[in-house]
Amino acid sequence: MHMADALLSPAVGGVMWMISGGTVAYSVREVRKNFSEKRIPLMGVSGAFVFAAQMVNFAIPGTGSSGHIAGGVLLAALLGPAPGFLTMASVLLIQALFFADGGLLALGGNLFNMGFAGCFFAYLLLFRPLLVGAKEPSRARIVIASVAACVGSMEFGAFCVTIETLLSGVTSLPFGAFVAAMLPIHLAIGIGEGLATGAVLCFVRRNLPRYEASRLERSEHRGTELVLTFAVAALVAAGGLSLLASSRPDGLEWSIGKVAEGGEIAAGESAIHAFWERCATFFAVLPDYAIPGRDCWWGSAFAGIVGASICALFTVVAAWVLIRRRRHRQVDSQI
Amino acid sequence: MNRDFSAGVLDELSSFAEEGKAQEVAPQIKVAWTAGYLLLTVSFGRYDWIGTFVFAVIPYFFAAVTGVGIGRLVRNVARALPFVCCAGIGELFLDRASIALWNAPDGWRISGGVIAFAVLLAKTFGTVGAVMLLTANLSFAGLADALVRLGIPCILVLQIQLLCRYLDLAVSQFSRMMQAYHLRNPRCRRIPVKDFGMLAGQLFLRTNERAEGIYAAMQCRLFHAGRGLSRGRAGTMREWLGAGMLFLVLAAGRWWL
Repeated sequence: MHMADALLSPAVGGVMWMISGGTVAYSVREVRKNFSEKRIPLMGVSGAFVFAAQMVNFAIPGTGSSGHIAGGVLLAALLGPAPGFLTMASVLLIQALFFADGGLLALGGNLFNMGFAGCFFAYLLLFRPLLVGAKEPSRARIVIASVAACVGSMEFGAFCVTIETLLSGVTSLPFGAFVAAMLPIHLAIGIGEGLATGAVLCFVRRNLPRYEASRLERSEHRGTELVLTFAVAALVAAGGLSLLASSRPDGLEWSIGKVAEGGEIAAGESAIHAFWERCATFFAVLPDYAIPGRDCWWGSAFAGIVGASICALFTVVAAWVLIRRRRHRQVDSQI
Repeated sequence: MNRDFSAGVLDELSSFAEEGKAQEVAPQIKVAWTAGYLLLTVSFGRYDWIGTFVFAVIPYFFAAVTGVGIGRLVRNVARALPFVCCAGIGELFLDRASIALWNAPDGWRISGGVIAFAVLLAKTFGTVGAVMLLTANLSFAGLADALVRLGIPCILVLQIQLLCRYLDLAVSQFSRMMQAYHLRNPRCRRIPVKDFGMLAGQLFLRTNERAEGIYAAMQCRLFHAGRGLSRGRAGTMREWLGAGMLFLVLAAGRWWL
């Protein structure tokens, strides 16, 4: 899954560096907050373990292809998400610098595709929820959680590789064909990695239960930090990634264009249609994600940031109303 | 896992350059210059074959000048080629546009896919060659200094340094375990899949035990992870000016080509 520099454009590589750099900064802060020197050898050994494991390729039957494990889920399960991500960063940097495996410019993308996907996305959304509620999870449950998380991580990473390569414009392969080539291969790799991860975790847990992530991890996410993290991610996506968005019509517009032949379906002539069209024109302050009357390159980024801010504002107001109503109900029931 | 990871293998990898002016340049200048070169090289379009080919030659020119050896660079680049070939070979069939090889009105025309594939290969030779050249001209300690100077957090740099040390431990432990396994099961040629989980777990735990011992020994020698790492020497104004001028020449070349 390692991408080479030649497969990325500077814009995509730069954006991925920014995203991964932000995640590294967050992880460093988390590690410093719960810093313990006892964990340093464990981080080093886990990194060495994943590095060595990535060198062992296994063949995928029927595809003629081979793959290696990413190791993000294993690192997150042993160390916690933030230390796991930092460990993965060091593994990928050494591979890029000394072994020509992945590029320096593509390091941001590779770190996101293998590190973020495994240590944050799959671990927090799949692995941990699947083990929640069981004080002493059974071996079967650990293996199932590992397989689910590894498959999720590999598929997410493979999909991101597809998106990044297509946005870079280095390949003429259609999106559908590219996805169809990438996802099934990584599904098989994910299952293999999940079984290996589950076996190692079961063994480590049986012999040294203190290495369980649930017991190691002491970091507590405060609400404000989560809100800030998501706010920054939304701003990067709306303001940065939107600049890379395709100007071609989306699936629905393309289908309508094919059906209507003229490009757009003509608006209805009734009074109701006319009323709603006037409403849409009145409220659409930034039509087509651009600034009206100005043809500037940053229009879509500006529209993205404004849109994300409005959504956030609506969500905050709705949440505030709901919380107030619940509090009123609680007070009423107490009375 | 046939590569022998002795404790100093990464320093061996990074000690091919001859002693000379390139070795004396501050590490962070080399890292910054390489990053600039990478950006300029990948910024060429999919049909900009002349510029890409010219830029792809640059690392090999410097490799010859600094005594790294072109063959060594090419061998390292060959490792990255299979994935790039897999990604780019589709261009030969999918991109059927007819592209003029140069701007002259009667210039030869060729399939766009062939040019795009050749450009992709040239970019790979250039970018991977540049990174390999950087590591060949930089000691491992120098790399750590450069990373600290460039603002990479100390915890991450420390992790990179320890990873290399523990890689050696893991590999030596692995060979011991394999030897022990085959001694106990002399008729067993291949290890059954059901034993892999146990072996991997054992490997992890034993390596970790040894790593903890080594870390305790480091602490006895007054090592403390919370202390900031050495920042190495800063580049002189002359070095920065020289690197800046060289980069400007490259940038002008990129604009002209």
